This record gives sequence, structure tokens and C-alpha cells, in this order.
Amino acid sequence: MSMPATTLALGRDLAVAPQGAEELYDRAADGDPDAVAVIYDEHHQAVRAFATRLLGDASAAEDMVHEVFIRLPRAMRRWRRDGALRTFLIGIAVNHARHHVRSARRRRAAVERLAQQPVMGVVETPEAAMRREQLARALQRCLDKLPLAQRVAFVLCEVEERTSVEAAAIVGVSEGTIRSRLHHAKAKLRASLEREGVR
Amino acid sequence: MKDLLQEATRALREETAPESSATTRRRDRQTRARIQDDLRLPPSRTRSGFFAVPLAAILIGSTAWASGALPRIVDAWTKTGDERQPPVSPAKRRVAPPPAPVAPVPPVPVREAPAQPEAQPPEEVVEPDAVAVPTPVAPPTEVVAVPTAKAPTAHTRPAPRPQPDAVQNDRSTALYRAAHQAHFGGGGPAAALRHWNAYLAEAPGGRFAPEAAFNRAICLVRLGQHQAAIAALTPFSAGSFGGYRQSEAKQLISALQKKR
Repeated sequence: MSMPATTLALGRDLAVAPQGAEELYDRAADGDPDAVAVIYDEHHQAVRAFATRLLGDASAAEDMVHEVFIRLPRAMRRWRRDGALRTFLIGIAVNHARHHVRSARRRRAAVERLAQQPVMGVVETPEAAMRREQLARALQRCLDKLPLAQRVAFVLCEVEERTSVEAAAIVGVSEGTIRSRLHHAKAKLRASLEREGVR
Repeated sequence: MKDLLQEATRALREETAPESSATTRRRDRQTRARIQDDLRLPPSRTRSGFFAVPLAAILIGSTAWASGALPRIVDAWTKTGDERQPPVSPAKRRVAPPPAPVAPVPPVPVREAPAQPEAQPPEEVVEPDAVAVPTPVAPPTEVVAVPTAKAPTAHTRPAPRPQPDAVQNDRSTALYRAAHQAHFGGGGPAAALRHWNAYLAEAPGGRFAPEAAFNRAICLVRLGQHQAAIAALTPFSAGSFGGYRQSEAKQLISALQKKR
């Protein structure tokens, strides 16, 4: 069965499940690998983008994507199907983020120690691109220091530009909680960036 | 005054924007195939089952032993139909010397249990400079496919003659295990390297060849053979294995080149 292709606009969910989706969801919940593959085709980029932003490490993000879709059948059996599937998938990623965050942080730290300087591309880049890369890496290091809940709120709302309503639905907390976490995250990140000496 | 956090956020967003290149498409396809393969595997048993089954067996066995029932059970299992005698009174049975106690109890249902929990260890990352971190690349399906899984039916059906492929799988699995043990069990990089070489010689296109090749490269790094390590890591960084260990390989090569 094929699903209509949707525009993979960054972080935006399908508000309404496409026609035939229910049957697809049933098959996925039964563990049908082909059904899960169809869902993967449709949503993997959004899940991977979120994972990369949250973890700051491509390999760890890949592991997270793998885990999300491996766990999908079991998770779908509990899903009430009252929201968008992509929101649900990002929610699975959030729920299993903890150990991925730890391993990504460990590896980044190890690689940086080995290289004896922050890991960067070895190819020369224009100044602007270099600054962008440095800023992104600095922010990723600062994100490592945040509690996971605040980190998730920041990535969802600021990096992925989701509304606090969307983020609340993904995380499964109230909108107020998300706003509060975001507020604290931003304050800590500003202080942290300053301490890093980034200008 | 510009908001540095905002600028950094934008930078992170742009740096991590989904990209579409031949490499990423290949990586996406590989992850998709890996997910499908994993979903096709039978569900692995839980860890609680791993511990619960032996514990239950011990509990039942000790209860039976304490109540004096175990010798009768052992007798019943060990004697063939012709040898079986009509039941005797418990008092009479206790007079007889107890038979060799536990050995003949058929252990099949209990011992079979550990085979499957190993089925799907989640893949973890290797920390390039702390290579002692165990990368769980233990062979999942090969372990399951080992003929011991068929042992319970052996007494009802003639045992199937091992296929050449299965024999080779057995051998490569044993080599892989030995290499894994040497690598993560403190055998030292030189010993681990020998074992990885042996595995790769046996199964150059084997299912775990990429893991073995990467771990071999890590051994070379540990042994200070940087030139050889770079050569071993280059296929990974070049994407010959798709996205597998690609970024680590690139970072390691870059770090090794700076050290030279």
C-alpha cells in the first residue's frame, strides 16, 4: 500500500491522517515491517532532524531513529490516535532520549579530547560558515549542561520552531510547563555561552 | 545589541537542517533496511525471563528435593518404559539409597532460555579514544541460529545433518566471539587484532564484517600503528559502509593526521 507523499516541511505535522492511514497504523501496530517502512519513509527526516539537534551527534541520532522505529509497533498499540503521527514519533524519541544524550555527550567529549581541540571540519570554509559552525558547536556544548527536560523544550520550541502547544503535546506536559522550562533553558544557555567566551 | 543565543540557535538549525545527498540517501536506506530486518526477527525475551526461568527451576527443584519427591521424578525420567516399576510406597522408596541426584534431570527447557535474550543488543557508539567501551556487536542472529536451538526436538526427529553454511557460520561465530572477548575482555589490542584478522579471513563478507573491520581499526589506533589505522578507517569515512561509523572514522582520521 502506498501513502501519498507529504511535504516534509521542517517539523510540521500532518493535522489529519491521510486516507488509508488507519489500516497502515493497524499493520504497523501488528509489527508489519513493510508498514513501519512506509511510516519511516514518510517521517524519518523529521525524526532524524530532531534527534540530530537534540543530541548533536549524527551517529547517536541515527541510533535514535533506529530505536524510534523499532519501538513503534509496541508504542502504536497504546496510541490513541488523537494527534498527528509525527508528533507521536517525536514523543517516542523524547521518551528514549536519555541514554542517547549521555552516549552522544561522552563520544563528543572523547573525540574532542583525542583531537585536542574542538572537532571541526578539516576543510577550509568561508568565514561566515566557520562562525556558524562554531556557534552551533558552542550551543551544543551548552545544551549538554542542561537538564534533559529543558534541553528538549529548547530544541522543540527554539531550534525546531514549534509552538509551545505542539511541544506540550509531544512531551506530554502542560503548555505552562513547557514555557517555564524554555525560560529557564534560555537563561542558562545565555549564561553558558557567555562563559564559553563566544562573541 | 545582537542576541547571541538567537544567532547560535539559528546556526544550529542551519547546521542540522535535513540534507539530501547520495550519502544521506544511502544511509537512510540502510537504516530502513536495518529496522525492517530487526522487526522480522522473533521478539526477544525480556531480561526478567532470563533470570526468572533459572530461579523458578531452582525453587521448584529445591522444593521437590525437600519434600522427597525429586528422587522419584529423577527415577521416572531416567528409566525407560521397560525399566519402570509399579509405584512403591514413599516409605519403601526412602530406604533405597538416593540416586545420583540432579544430573539426569532434563535441563533442556531451562538451558535453552539464555539463547534469545542476546538476540538484539542495541548498537552503541564507540568512543574512539576509550575503545575499551564494549561495542555490542555480538552476533545476534547467528547465536539464535546455532543448532542448539533445535535440541528440544532432537528426540522426536532425526537430527538434521549440519549444512556447510551452518558449519561455517558456527566457525565464524566462534571466531567472532573470541575476537569480541579479546577486544572487550581485556585481552589487549595485539591479541584482539589477531582475532579480528582471523575472523575477517574466515568471513570477509560476513554479517559482522563491518563491525570487525572497525574494531580492527581501533586496535591499530591503540597499538600506535596510525598509518595502518588510517588505511583501515578510510573505507568507513569514504562511506563504503554507508553511514556506519562514518563520522567517527572521519574524526579519528582527522585526529590521527594531526598527531602525525
